Order: sequence, then C-alpha cells, then structure tokens
Amino acid sequence: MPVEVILDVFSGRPNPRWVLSDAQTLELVRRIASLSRAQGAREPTPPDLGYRGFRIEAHDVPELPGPVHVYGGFVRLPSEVRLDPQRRTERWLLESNSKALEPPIHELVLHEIEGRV
Amino acid sequence: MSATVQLNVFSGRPNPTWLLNDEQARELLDRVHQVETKTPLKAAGSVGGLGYRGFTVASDAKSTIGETRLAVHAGVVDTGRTDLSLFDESREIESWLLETATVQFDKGVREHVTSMLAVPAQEALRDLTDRLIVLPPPSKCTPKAADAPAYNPGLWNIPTVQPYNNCYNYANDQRTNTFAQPGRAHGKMYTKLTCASVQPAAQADGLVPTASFSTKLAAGKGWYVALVIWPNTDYHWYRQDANGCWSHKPGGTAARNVDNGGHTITDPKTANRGPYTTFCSYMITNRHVVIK
Repeated sequence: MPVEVILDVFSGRPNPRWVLSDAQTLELVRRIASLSRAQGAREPTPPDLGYRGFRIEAHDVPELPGPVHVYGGFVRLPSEVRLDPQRRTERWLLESNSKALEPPIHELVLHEIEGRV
Repeated sequence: MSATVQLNVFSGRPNPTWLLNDEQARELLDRVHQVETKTPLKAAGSVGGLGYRGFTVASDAKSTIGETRLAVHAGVVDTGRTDLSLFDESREIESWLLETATVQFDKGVREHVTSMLAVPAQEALRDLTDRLIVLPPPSKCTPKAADAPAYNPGLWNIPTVQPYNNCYNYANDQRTNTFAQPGRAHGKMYTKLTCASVQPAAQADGLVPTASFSTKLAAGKGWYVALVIWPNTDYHWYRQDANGCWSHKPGGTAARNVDNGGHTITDPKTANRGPYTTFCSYMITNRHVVIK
C-alpha cells in the first residue's frame, strides 16, 4: 500500500517526494483519525513561493481514499477538513524524511511550522 | 471541542488557530452577552494591512454553543449578522481570547498582540478608520514588449497543464509538460542553485541577460523575464506580460499575477519573493528559445 508524500515547496526544481513505510502509513492514519473536525474554521491559503504544505497520495489505503493536503494546522481529506492546532501532523511528515531533505528546506519548513517570526 | 479561534496576525504564513473546550466556549458567550454597548461598526478584520487584525471564532451546529461566527477587533464584537455589533470598550474579550491560546507563539508575536490590545478601543478604531479612507495609489505597470504574452492563467491552471509545467515553462510561455529546467534542452543544465550556474544555463537555451526592463522591445524582439534564487536551494522565474505587469507560476501551482504578499508585481526586484531572496538578473526571451 504505497503512500507517497510530496513536500510542495519548490518552483523550479521538482518537489521532494518520498514513500512512507507500512509502519509510517499506519502511524499517519492513526494521527489523522485522532484529529477533530475543523468546525467551520477557515483554512489558510499557502503563499506563492516557499512552503505550501504536504500532499499525500495513497493507493489502496481505505482510510485515505483520495489526495490529502496538510498545511497550516489543517488536514484536508476528500470529504472533510480536520484541525491540527499544534501542527503535529506537518511536523511528523517533515521528520518522516528528514535525513534526505536538504538542510535549508528542512529549516524553512520547520520555521514555518513553528510559526517563528 | 466546541469552537475554533483564529488569531489574524500574519500575512504570508498561516494564522495561529486553536480550539476552545465546552467550558471556554460557554464562557465566551457569557462574556459577549454581558456587553451592553452597541455599535453600527463591523470588525475591520483584514482591512488595514499587516500585523494584528483581531480574532475570528467559529463553531458549527454540533457545538455546545451552536453555530456561531464572531469577529472581534478593536473592541468591536461582530456577530456577522445584520444586527448591530457590540462594543467591548475595555477589550477584555480580545485579551481573554489571547489567553485561551493552546499554541505556542513566538515571543515577538505575543508582545505585538499585547501591545496592540493595550491601545484604547476608541483610538484603535480611529487608526483603522484613517487607513480605510486613505487608500494606497494603484500600482503602475507599463507595457514594454510587443511580443509579451497576455496574462491568461486559464491556459495554465488546468489539470492537464498545471502540474507538468513550472516557472521556467511559464516565463518562456511554453507548455512542454516536462517541468522544464534551464539548460537541459542543450545539455548544459545548471549544476548549482546559484545565479552563476542557473543564468548561463538559461543563456544556453537562448535567453539573453539585460540590465533592466526599461527599453521597449519591438515585434520579433521577445519579452522580459527575471531570474531569482533561493540561495543554494531553488530558482524561480517571473515574466512581464503584455499589460506591463509581471506574473509567475510557482512550480506546479497556479499561475498568478500577485506576489507572496498578494500585491501586483510591477518589478520582481522589489516584489515579496519569500525565500527567493537573491535577485539575479532580468533577461529577454522569445518564441524561438528552446527549453525542455
């Protein structure tokens, strides 16, 4: 059940993408299932340039029936939006491939997730 | 959890958002109901530009407090309906909402919001009113190139095109569906993410560097583009359209004619470019350039 994560961050170069292991996939499903529905809150719009969130593309994972977009403390599933106020899902996704990401990218995304001014 | 609170303070990044529990949601409603003064003003919200712009609170019908929409800013408690707003002159509701935050703020953010909440409500409203009346002048774009493509995002922002064409495709107005890379069509692709590597790679494709975009380009002479770099990490291109304004297409996302701050781009050198902090060069491209 390959689950691909795409870090939407580049303009010229292709975005970094990687495949989660089975154990990571189960962990991701567990994390998303534990989140509350967003209750009418407005999702933020990503900027044009820089970190724009993670896209998750899953095949044959019943809990992830379509593309998932994770950004700004929100997890957008095909049928609903969930709220992740501590942005733990983004942080986990970032660390799921941290060793392969170039340091400037890791630093920028972490900076954004932590809301550092 | 009963309601979502959003602190409207950032421009380019997501605003902090957190949840109120049932008890907090009920307390919020109690606080609102205790405000007796009314006002015809609506919460100014996003008007006024950068920095603190109040709170928005939302809950749906399943919440303990039912479906609710509140915007609170400068003492104005706006319930979003046609009723008059409430005026919380002491700004206690805003202060209380700040204290409910369960997310970490950078120290600078908390200090900024705290300082804004210390401004008396009447004074804060006067500041906002001044900004509403005196609007910034419209941006000026001057057409320069007879061959410049028209800004037509509909050609790019469709499922069969958008994911497969990047900023370089867009700047050159060529939909190759190869996520084109500077120099690749001529075996001279860049090797580093620096101006010194990416610019010559683009020149190998046929682009020509130029000092500025002030000279008019006659028919057959191409149009202006600009190269910027996220140091050692990525590159990005802008193009000047037929109307003289600039537009761009960040990677596989949609083509658009505003910068990271949502402003019209009159010059990429002065635009909000996010992490692409290095401005390399203006260049001229044309219909005969080959990219891949």
